[in-house]
Amino acid sequence: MTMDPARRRGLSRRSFLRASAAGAGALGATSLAGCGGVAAGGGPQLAYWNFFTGGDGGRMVDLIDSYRAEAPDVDVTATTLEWGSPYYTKLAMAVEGGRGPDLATLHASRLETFGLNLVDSWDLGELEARGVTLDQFPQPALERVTLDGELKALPLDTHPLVLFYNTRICEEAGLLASDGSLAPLDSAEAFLDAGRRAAEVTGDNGIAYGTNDALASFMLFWSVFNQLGGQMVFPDGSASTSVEVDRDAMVSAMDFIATMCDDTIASRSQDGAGAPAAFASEQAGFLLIGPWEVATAQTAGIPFSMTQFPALYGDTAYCRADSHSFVLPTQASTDPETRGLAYDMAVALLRNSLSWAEGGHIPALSEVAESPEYLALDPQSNYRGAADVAAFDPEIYFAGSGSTFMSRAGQSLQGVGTGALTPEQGADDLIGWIDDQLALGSPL
Amino acid sequence: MATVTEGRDVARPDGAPPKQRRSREGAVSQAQRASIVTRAAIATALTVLAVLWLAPLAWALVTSLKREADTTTVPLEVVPEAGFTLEAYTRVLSNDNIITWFVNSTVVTVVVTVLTLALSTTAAYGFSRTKFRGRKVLFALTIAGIMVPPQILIVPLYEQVTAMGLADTYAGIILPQLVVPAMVFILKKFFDGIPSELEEAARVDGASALRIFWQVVMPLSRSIVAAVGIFVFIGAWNNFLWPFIIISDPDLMTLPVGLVQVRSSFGIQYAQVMASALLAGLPLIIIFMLFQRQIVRGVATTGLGGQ
Amino acid sequence: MSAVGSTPQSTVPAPAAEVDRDAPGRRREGRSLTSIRGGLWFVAPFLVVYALFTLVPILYGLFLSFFDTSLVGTSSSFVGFDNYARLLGDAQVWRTLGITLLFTLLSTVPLVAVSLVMALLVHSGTRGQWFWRFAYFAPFLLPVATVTLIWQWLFQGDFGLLNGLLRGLGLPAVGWLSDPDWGLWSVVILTVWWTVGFNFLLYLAALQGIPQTVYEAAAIDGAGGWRRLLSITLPLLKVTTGLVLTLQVLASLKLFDQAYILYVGSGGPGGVAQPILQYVYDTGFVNYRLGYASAISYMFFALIIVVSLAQAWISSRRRS
Repeated sequence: MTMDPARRRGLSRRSFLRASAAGAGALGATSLAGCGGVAAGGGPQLAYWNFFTGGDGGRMVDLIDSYRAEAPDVDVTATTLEWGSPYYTKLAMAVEGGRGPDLATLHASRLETFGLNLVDSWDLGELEARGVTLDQFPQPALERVTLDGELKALPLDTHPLVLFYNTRICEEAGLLASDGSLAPLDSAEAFLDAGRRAAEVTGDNGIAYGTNDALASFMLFWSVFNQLGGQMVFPDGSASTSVEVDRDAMVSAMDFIATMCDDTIASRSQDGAGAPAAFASEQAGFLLIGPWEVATAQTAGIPFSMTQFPALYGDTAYCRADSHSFVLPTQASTDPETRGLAYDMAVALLRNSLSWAEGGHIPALSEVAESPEYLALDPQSNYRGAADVAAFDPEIYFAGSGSTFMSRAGQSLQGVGTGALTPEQGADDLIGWIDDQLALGSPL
Repeated sequence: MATVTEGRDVARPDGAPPKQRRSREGAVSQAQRASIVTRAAIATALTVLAVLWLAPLAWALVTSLKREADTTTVPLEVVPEAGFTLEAYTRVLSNDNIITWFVNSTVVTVVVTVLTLALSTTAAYGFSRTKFRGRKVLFALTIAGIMVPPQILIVPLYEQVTAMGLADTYAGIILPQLVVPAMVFILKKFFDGIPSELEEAARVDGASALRIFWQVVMPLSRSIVAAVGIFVFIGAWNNFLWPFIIISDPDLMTLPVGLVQVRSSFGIQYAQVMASALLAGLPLIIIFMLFQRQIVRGVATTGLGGQ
Repeated sequence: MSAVGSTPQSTVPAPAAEVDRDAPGRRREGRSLTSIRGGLWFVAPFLVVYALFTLVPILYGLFLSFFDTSLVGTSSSFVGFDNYARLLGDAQVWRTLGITLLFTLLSTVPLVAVSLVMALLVHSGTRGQWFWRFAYFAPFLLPVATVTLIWQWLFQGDFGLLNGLLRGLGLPAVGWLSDPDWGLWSVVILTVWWTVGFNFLLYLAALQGIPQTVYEAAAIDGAGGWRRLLSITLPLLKVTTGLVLTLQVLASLKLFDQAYILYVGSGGPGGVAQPILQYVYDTGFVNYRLGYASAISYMFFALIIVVSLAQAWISSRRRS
């Protein structure tokens, strides 16, 4: 009966359109408004889904337009869906029903969920024919998008946790080096102390940080946890075994957050939107968030710069990062011509990603990342080294950007940040939840 | 027995207009007897509540008439310095998506309303006026359906409709919405109250069952059918959960689903969001203004179905 | 008294009670049930659609709840009562159920009380009946997307109307959508604004069903306005209140749309506004566990049935 997904996927996009026409016709509906179909121009169609809004959204529109200019006869329909679980759920449901778009954006960290049978592998030969080879990508992102030796996604960028700093406040606090950039902060104590001194200048907080925000708190936690040598290893296949996690590193990382959120260095009650706003209004000297907030700071017109999240523990400045990448959703029947256009479009967007980098993302393709134009971007190229020490999310089907894992980890971290949980309680809370998830068994 | 549907008529058994008028006057004179203070307090309370209930709509309207830059001022400005503009509406209406969703919503709502009425009135008539084996069991089964919230069926219904190849089709949105057992029940109660002599007369003239239903019973039931129809229409226009689950293709979304799911690439632009939200609600507000009496009575008679 | 009381009550039929009364109604059947044949053809179209899109899914959902079916997986196997055993120990099931019950409590009280006050005020006969009815009922007609988008804007932290007014009064701003202490209240406020008009109209219809003679008699006895309200009106509205209450409880238990849209599927700050139906949605569609989601649905379904039967029982007792 309905249990066989293979049969369901056997429905081609075209036959579903026919079915919909027949169904609607039978119901007396005369119009099948806007059902994809053949465009007025009669050129080939290419459907692309993404989740970019705001500054990124505008830049993505520009990127797509650059491809449209290259291939004027292709009718590209770009659809922007609500980010987070709504996007990934809709994409999975559409692909599962054989109705997915021809090209889609995915966070590399979400591949674990999609990799199995919802996206096709990229053909290295096809990429090479378009001048793209694997050695042109940074290693961490490349590893993350390669599953079982197959390239499942094509990275567009790396977007790590970065440190924004207000140059005026930092200068007053005596935190700048002679060249006007932030003096190195090479330990947790130095970092917290810098926060304290910035707080003295602002009279408010030193570091703007979204204590109540799952994404912001997870980015900081995962960076510090990795710097502490923490690892999260998930049991292979068999359910009901528990996660192997370095609890001490977890407690230490949470302890760092608890220490930082003392209402002086950082607020105990800041939310996701409030942190960038506080930085933009100079109520804080630092901001801990992803590089996309560069637009917020620029719009505010404050004196600021950005730098790589420093190594607070150990020698390597691991920082939590993710990568916006392109995937080829599995089609009921793949039309080689459309597939070829999807390759064209993805490669074109990669090549033109300099404008994308202006939004703060580190371009993945080396020819862009090493171009003089990118290197001249200030402050966007200051933290480009982060791409080589990027720490991606845990490799498990329920983790990744906008995942259940992140929102649940956010709850534990929020508890720690607000002081409702001790670091030990926070760590056990999160480990307990992960074990519960593992006990459920994978739905994949 | 028609009392079930026409509660107000029971209060005035004779239903004669003069009597009604008199009892209305009675109410007024009673109100006059109440002290001025009480009346002023009542009027004040009514006004405060009305302001509270209309303020969100008013603020949405004001926002939709501003330029984007004027929507995010601190402190708030009711009237922006630059004045009001219809810019947000022109933008929204030039957006193909919104037009497409509007068409989708209209098609789905009209088809759902017509088909639900067709299925419900015939079934109600069958249960009320005809005799066949298993009638009571089937009617009890129908009534039991009132207790099944559609929300708990989303998972199996999704699997089923997808397997039928109807995901991302109008039929997939429409078909599961056609089952409203509460409406069958309400209509049956009404039909039960229609004196059968009228039908008998038609039968003597040799009319078929279908003709009796269409030419005798339906004309007598216009008010209740209109009430049910209006409620089904409102429910279908506003339905969110099912279209949200079964539609992935942005070109097939209905207004409520599209507005929530598909985002502007240029970030949240409050004037435009408010303009599109108000436009999505406008058809029903207009319908209410035109048919307030019918709707008010409809709520009283079909209260169950509205939930 | 009972004759009067039956009037507002008859404005909202209670299904189960009606069925009970139907059975012994031989006299009416004998009169109205003519020997029209082909009756099955009248009910068949409805029954076919009903069977396909309600009865089959009910059975299929029950069937699914015994399997570990995945939205995207390739195989599924029979797991017996595992899904049900698992939900008993799933803290998230109980948390979201608790949130649902809390929301039901927090929303039902104002939704019944405010609607009653509105109806009493409007029924006083103050001029502008059309306008009052419009003001209180209009929000109910709006699509949930419209309502929620408007309130997202009103609740907005920096530029929203509510915080703007608070600041204007010299009060601190509230994190309507970001503070775990306020997260669920925001859903309650939105819901009361949106749906109170429906209960208001039910009450108004009931009030209009009370014959004037009752009041006239009381006036002769010298009862004042408050006395009349407390000793005549409110007791006569008891039945309507019972029905409004149960309908409202059932509606509030089914919270999903506005909470989902308001928080874009996140469940609100710290997950404080994630109702159980959203957990079903998240489990089945976001996390792909259709089998387990079905089991949670059925547990919740059982709760709804209990409440529905309680309603039917209460109204049938009232009637007799």
